[in-house]
Amino acid sequence: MKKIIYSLSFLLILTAISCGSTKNSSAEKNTEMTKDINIMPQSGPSPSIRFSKPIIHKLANGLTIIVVENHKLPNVNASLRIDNQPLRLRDKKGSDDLLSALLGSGSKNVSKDQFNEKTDFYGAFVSLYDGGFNINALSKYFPEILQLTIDQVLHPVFSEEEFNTEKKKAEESLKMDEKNTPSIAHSVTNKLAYGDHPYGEFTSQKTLKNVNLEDVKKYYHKNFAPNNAYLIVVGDVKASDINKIAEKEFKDWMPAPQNKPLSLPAINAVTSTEIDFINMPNAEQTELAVVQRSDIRRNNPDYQKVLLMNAILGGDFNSYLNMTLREEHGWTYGARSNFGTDKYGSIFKASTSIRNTVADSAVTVTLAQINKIINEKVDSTTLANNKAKYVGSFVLQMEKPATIANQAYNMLINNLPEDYYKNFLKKLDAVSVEDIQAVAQKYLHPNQLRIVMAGKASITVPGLEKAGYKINFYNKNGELVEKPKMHIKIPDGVTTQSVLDHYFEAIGGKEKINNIKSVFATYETDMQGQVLQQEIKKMTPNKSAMAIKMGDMTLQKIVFDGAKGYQEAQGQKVDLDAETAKKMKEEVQPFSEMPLYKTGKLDRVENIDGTNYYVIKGADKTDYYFDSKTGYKTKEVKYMSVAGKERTQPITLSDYKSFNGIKFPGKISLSFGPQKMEFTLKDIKVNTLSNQDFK
Amino acid sequence: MKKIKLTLTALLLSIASTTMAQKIDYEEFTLSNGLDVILHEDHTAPVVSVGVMYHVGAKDETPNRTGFAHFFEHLLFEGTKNIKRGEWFKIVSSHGGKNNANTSDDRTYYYEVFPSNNLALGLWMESERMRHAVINKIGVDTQNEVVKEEKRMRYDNQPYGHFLEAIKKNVFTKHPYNHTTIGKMAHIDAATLEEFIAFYKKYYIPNNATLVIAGDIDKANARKLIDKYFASIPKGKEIIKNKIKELPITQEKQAVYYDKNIQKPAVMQAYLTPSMKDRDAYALDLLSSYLSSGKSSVLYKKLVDNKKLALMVGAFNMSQEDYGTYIIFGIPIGNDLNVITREIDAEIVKVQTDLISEKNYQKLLNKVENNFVNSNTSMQGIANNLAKYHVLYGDTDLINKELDIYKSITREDIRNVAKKYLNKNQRVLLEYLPKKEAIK
Repeated sequence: MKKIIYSLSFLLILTAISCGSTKNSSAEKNTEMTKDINIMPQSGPSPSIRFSKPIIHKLANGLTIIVVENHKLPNVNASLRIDNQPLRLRDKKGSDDLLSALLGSGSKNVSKDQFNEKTDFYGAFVSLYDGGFNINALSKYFPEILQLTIDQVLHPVFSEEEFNTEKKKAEESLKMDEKNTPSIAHSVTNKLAYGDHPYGEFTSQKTLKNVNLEDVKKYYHKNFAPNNAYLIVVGDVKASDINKIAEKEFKDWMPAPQNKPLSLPAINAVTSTEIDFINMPNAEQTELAVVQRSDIRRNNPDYQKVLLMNAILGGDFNSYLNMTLREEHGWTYGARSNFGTDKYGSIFKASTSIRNTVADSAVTVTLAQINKIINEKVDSTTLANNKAKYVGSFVLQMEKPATIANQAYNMLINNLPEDYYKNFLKKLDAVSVEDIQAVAQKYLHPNQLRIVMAGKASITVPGLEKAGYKINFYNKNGELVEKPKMHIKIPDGVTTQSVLDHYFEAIGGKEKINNIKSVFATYETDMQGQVLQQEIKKMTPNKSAMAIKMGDMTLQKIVFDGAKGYQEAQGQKVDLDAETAKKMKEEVQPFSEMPLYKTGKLDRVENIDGTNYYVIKGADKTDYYFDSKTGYKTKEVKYMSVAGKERTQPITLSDYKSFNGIKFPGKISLSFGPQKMEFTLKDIKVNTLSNQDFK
Repeated sequence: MKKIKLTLTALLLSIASTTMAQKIDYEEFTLSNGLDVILHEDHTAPVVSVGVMYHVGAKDETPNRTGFAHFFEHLLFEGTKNIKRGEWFKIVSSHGGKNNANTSDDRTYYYEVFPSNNLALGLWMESERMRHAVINKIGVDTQNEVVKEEKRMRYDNQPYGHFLEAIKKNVFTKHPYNHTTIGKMAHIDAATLEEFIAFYKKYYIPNNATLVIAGDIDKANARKLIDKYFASIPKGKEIIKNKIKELPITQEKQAVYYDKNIQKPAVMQAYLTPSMKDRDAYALDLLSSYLSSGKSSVLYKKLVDNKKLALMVGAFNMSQEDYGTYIIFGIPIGNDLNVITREIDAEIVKVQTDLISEKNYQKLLNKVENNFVNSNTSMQGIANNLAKYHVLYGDTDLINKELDIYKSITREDIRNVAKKYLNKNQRVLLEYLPKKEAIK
C-alpha cells in the first residue's frame, strides 16, 4: 500500500483559506491567538494528509477492479458498477426495474432462499440491481458473500413465477405513489427536462404492463456485461485476495459485442422560459424545479469554476437561493441547485419545496438569483469562503477510505488525467471573481428555462398567471393537458348571507338602501356609430321598466306595473305572458338582489384573472358573482334553454360609481356570442319615480 | 455424520464468541459547573467532531406547545453575542467544516465536523451558544415559517408521513411521547419570544449538557481549550424532571387515520414497551430483527414472498428514554388489511410459543455486530453514540458493552418478551387509510 503525501503548496492553500486571513499561520505554534473568549479563535497549523493509493487491476474481459485496503475496522464495503450508455426502453420501460427485482432471486447454483438465508445469516447488507450490486459485510464473511453475490448476477435463473410476483409488486408500488407529489414532480421534471433522452423515461402503469420476461432477459444480456464494469472493494481486505476471487468468479463473464455508442438525443431545450405545471390537489407544498441542460463535464477546464459558481448560486446553506428563499423569506426548509456532469447527458436543476401560497413569488426570487449571478460580480469574501468549504470537505472526506475508491472510479469513467485530484485544489484556488461571472454567463440560459412545478393549482396558478408567465399544464404522466378546473375551498365564515351583506355594505349600506324607493338609471352605448340609450326604471315593490332609445325614438320597451305588463318594439305592443308576469312579480325592486337572502345559495369560489369570486346561485337559474375582496356584484350569468340548447347570457358589471351615497355599476356589458355591447352609466336619479312611469 | 455436525456447531459458536469489533477508548470528566465532557482520540484522519447534547427534547414540552424544542433548535443557529445573525453557517463552511443539529423526544444535539486544526473554533462556537445565544423576534419570525415548511416537507406532503403521529397519540395517553417532535402548526404559531428565552435559561445550562469531542486531538490541549471556553459558563438551576407514568394498554384500541397523500392503505400494530435502558428492550430489538430484518426474515418470507399478500412488512422496536413503542406494519397487495393482521398475529403466536432456532439466533447476533461496526465508523458517529449513552442511558461505557448485552440475551428471553408485551389486548390497531376527498 503506497501513501502519497500532499505537496507543500496544497498545505499552504489549506492554511491560508481555513484561517480566513492572508497570514501564513503554519508558522504559528499556538492554536490560540488571544485569551479573550469573545474573539473567534484562529485555526491551528494545517494537518498533514496522507492518502492510500488504490490498487487497480483489469481483467481480460474488461472488468476493472479497484481495491482500497483499510484495516482500521473489521468490515468491507464493495460494489459492482456498470457504466454503459443508457438504453432507451420506451414502451418497455420497467424492464430495468424488474431486472433489479429479479437479480438475487436465484441462480443456477444457489436458490433464492439459500442466498437470502446465507447473506442474512452473516448480518450483511446486499442489494442487487440492474446496474450492479452493493455489499456491506464484516470482513470475516465477506469473501463468501462476494462469491455468492457474483454468482447471482452472472447466472440468474429468471423464473416465470418470480417474474409474475415481482411485476405484480411493481404495479402495486406504482399505486402507492399515485398521490406522492415529490415523487411525481421528480419523474415529470426529468421527463420534460430530458425529453427523448433515456434519462427522461420513467416507469408507468402503461409501460409496466407491456413488459414480459423476455424483455427482462433481453435487457439483461444487452446491459449486464463486463466491458464497462467496475468492481470496487474498500476495507479490511487484501487486494491480492480480491483479485484472485474476481479472476475466478468472473472468468466466464463474456464481454458484450462492442456497439458503436448511439448518439443520444440532445437534452430537451425550450425556446423561451416557460412554466410547466402539474396539478396535485392534495399537495401541501409546491415542488419547484428550474431546469436546463448542463454542458459542463469533469474534464472540462471550466469545471472548478462552475463548481464554485453553483456553490454560490445554490450549492449550500449560504447560497443565494437558500439565503433568500429560506432565511430571508421563510418560504421553504431549503433550496439547492446542481450542475450535473454525467457524460451521457446532464441537466442543471435549482429546486425547492415551497408552500403553495408563495410559489409564484418563489419563481420570481429564484429567477432573480440566477440573473444575479450572471449580471453581478460575486463578493470576493463569498468566493473565498466557498473555496475554503471545498478544501475542508476534501479533508473531511479523507476520513472515509471509500473516498479514494470513488475518486479512482470517477477518474476512470470520466477519462480524467492521473493528477486530477492532486491538481484539483490548485485549480480551485485559481478561480477569480471574473471567472465566476464568465461561467455563469456561459452555462446558464435564463431565457430558456423550464420551470416545472407540482402543487395545488387552485392556490398557485392564479398568481403565476397574474405575473404573466406562459403556463403549460401536464398530468402525472408528463402529458400535456388542458388547464385543470380548480376547486377553491370556500373560506370559513363565508356564507350566502355574509356575501350579500358585504355587497350591500359596499354599495352604500342597508340603511341608505332601505330609504330608496325608486331608481332611474340612464345608460349609453355606441352601436356602429349610433348612440343608443338604455333607460332603466325600478320602483318598490316590484315595478320595473326598461327602454332602449336612439335619440328621441324608442326602439324597444318593456314595462311591468307590479301586476301586469307589456313589451313594445317597432310599433308592436304585446302583453307579457302569465309566466313572465309571474316571475317579474316575484322580483324585488329597486335592489333585485334582496331575494337572494332567501332563494340564493352560495355555490362555489371561482378564480378569474387572479381574483376570487363568490358565486351565489339564484332560484332564477342565474349565477351571481361577487368580488371576494370588494364585495361588488361583478357578473350575472343567466342559464337558459334556447331551441333545446343550454345557453348562457353573461352580464358583467364594473366601475361602480357613487350617486347620492349609493354605488351603481358604471359599466354594464352584455355578450351575445361573439358580439359584445357595453353600456356606460350616464345618470342616476333616486326617489323620483311614480306609478305613472310604469304605464 | 455426528462428528461433522458437532464441528459445524462448534465452528458457529466459536465465530459467535470472537469479538472482532473495535473497542472505543475515551476519557470523561465533569467541570465544576456541571458540564460533562467526553473525549475520544483517533488519529486515523485529520478530522475532529465537536458536539453538545442537551438533555431536553419534545417530551419536556407543555401540551399546548408541541414542536417547541425543535423550533428552539432552529433558533440556536440565529446567532450569539459574538456571532452575528446569518454568520453561523458561513463560519463553519469557510473553515472547511460541516454542521447540523437534531431534536428528538428526549434530547437535542448540535455538532460540527472540522479539519482537526479547528478544534478551538468548534469549541468556541458551541460555548457561544451555551453562554449567550441571541434569541430575538426576527429569529423567531423567520424560523417560524421555516419550521412550518419543514413540517410540510417531511410529513404533510409525504405518503404515510403521519403514521408515527397517529401511533404515538394512540399509544400514549398520559406521557408527552403522545405528540410529535415537529409539533402542530397552531402551537408553533403560538410560541412567544418570552417563552423561548425562558426555555433557554432553564434547559441550556452546562449542568444539563454533555460536550463530546472525537477525532484527531491532543487530549491535554483539548482539556485546556474546554476549560478556557466552558468553565466560566455559570451553572444553572437544577432541573427537576417530572417522570410521567404511562398507563398500560389492557384492551385492544382500534384507531383510524386518513391520509390524502396515499392511494394504498396500511395497517399498523403498536405496543407499549419499556425504556431502551431496560434489558427487555434489547430482547425486543432482537425479536424485531428476527421478524422482519432481511429477506429471510419470518414476516418478509411469509407475507411478501410465499403468500404474496403484502407489498411491504416490517417490525421495529422504537425504544426511547422513558418508554418504547413496538410497531409492526404492513402494506397489502390489494386492499385487505385484515388478512395482513391475521398473518402477522399468527407469527407472533409462534414466537410466543416456540423458541427461535439456534441458526436464526446466531444470525441476529451477526446482524448486531455488523450494525455496531457501521455505526462507529465516523468520528461524528462515535461522538453521537458516546453522548447518547452518557446522556440517555447514564453509562458511556455501553458503547463497548452493548454488544455483550445483546449476546447475553437468550432464545428464552426473546420468547418471554413476545409473551409479555405482544398480546392483542395490549395494542393499538391502526388502520391508515387513503382520504377520499372530492378534490378536483
